[in-house]
Amino acid sequence: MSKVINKTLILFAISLSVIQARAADPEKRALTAVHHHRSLRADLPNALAFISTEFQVPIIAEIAIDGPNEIVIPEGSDSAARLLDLIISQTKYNSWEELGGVAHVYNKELQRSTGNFLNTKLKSFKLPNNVSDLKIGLRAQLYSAAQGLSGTVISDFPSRELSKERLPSKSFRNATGRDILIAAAKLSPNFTSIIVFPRKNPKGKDDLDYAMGHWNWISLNRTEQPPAGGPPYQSR
Amino acid sequence: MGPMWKGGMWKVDTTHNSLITAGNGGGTAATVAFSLFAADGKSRYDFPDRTLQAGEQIWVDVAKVIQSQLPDKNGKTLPLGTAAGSYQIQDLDHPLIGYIFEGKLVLDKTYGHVGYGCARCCAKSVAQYDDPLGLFVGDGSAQWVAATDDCTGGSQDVTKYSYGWYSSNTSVVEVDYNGASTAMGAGTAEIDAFIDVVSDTMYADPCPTATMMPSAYVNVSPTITSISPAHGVSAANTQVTITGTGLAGATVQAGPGISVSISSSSSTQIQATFAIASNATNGQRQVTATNNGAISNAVNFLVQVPTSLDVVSDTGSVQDVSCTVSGSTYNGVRRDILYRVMDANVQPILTSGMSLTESFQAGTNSCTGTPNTPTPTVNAPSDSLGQFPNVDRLAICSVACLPANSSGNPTGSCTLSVTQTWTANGFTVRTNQIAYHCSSVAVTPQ
Repeated sequence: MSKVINKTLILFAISLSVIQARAADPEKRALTAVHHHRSLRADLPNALAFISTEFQVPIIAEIAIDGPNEIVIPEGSDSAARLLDLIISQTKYNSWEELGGVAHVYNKELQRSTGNFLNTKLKSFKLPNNVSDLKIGLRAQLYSAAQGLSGTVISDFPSRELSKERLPSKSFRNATGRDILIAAAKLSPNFTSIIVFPRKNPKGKDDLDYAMGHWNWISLNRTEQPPAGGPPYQSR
Repeated sequence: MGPMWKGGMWKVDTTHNSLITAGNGGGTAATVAFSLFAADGKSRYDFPDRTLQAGEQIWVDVAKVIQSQLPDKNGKTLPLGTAAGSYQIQDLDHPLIGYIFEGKLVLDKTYGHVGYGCARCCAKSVAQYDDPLGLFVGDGSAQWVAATDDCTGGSQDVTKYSYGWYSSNTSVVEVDYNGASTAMGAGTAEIDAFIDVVSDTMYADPCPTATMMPSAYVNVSPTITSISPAHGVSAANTQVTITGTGLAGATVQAGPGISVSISSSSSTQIQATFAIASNATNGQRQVTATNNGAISNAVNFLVQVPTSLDVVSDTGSVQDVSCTVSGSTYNGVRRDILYRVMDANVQPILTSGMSLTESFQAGTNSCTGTPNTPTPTVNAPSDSLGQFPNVDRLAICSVACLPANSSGNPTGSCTLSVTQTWTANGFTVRTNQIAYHCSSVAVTPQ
């Protein structure tokens, strides 16, 4: 009887410690927390979106469509980090790293490519006060800067959900789009941003337009649907 | 028994025939004169006189007499197509106290209804009413039987004399011993009963009792009480739930332009995908379910073709955008417009998940340092109101708008013009001319 009680207490203590860890260290809570998840067969962007929403993990992803067509995640009990490892093991050119509680998933060649607009530096950028405005403003400024332009012209959809994710005041100088995006995710770890490039060495305006048109944002406190106008990971 | 019987009715057509019998019920031989009459007595057929020994009985198939055109003892025939008439049987040897008895069967070849009569009795035909009987699954019905007197043509309800009701298929219709039936599942069944009929007597002698078996078909149809959603959009699939009765294993018909794929069905529900063709026309369709050949009632399903975009809200130009260009800042403008998709009848398409896209064609651009077109956007799915999930925000920040005055407002000016084309599920629904200015955004049409 006492052994049963002791085991129960130990389990309770473990559970309590997990809860306390979650409460005490929100950056680590989602990446290391283990829970049961369903199985999934999906392309890479949707697999990343699944992990992000299932585990409430902010993910910044820059991937190319010339990856595997299908990722397989078996049903089981895992952490987000373990599933990211699983995904990466099924892809040839990708990697991931944890940056202050944010999972950064990237195509290794694409990350270094000069045609990747996330490598474009903005002379100055001030974080807007919410993620919805970041979605519109950063995208427009990177689109212009990638073409050597300074101004922006916008026709875009603000997000009701992302507009609830507040951002602190912060200014950047000579920062890349990637730096700004990851910094914003650290400051407001309630969104995921997945950019699908047409190739790992994007070139020209067509490739730029494609990637801009396949830049998906997900609110982790969402009630609205993420953009779903066709598979983001489609071949051209 | 008697010396003569006159006026008994017979019937011969595509579904009926009559068999008439005459017999000698006496102890000695008797000569019988047997005649058929038609056309109010204008046609007459006289069989040759015949001597019947005691206990002997003969039968006449009236249909054969007419169809064979065999002449009677006077060389006459009844015209082909003769459908009804009467007959007379006479005992020529015993005019006062005859020994002849007589009987008649009228056969209904379609439903097996049988009328029976004898010489001094008027025959009765019995039949169930409402044959075939149409029911929907779950309906209850009390079937009843009527008897028609062949002499008078009068009809009366004889249901209370029926018994032993049964159904040929209890999965379609159940019927209790007394005739109360309940439609169980879609399909066709036959319900039968027994009934003992006593013909009315024309004389003092009692008429014999005949046991007959009237039958009727019951067609039980599935029912559709609702379909949800009751609308879908062209060039897309719509998952629908059809609720009703008798639906297990049913097929669904949804009208032109809609291909139906059933994923599951139970007795009360069908889950199906309506694949609506891109060339399907705008309008109502009649959706029915068919089960075992029985067709349900129809319910409406509206096919909507995206035709236009309606402006739900428009903020107009609002000066609350902070533009930082080349290190300088000014108050830029934005304009937020919320659209919803309308069908060919200018009704909103209340469907979520429509693929809404915008594309641009560059016009003139005097706004230094800005792209000629806005940043390409991700496709947006419509919400359940058929609206874009969020407003379309239009804004511009250009160095050409600088410098800002003391209030932070732009003093420079420029115009960037684009043609903006919207599509919904591939249908072009709106084309806007947008002129971005430093302090306003003009959209045509409004």
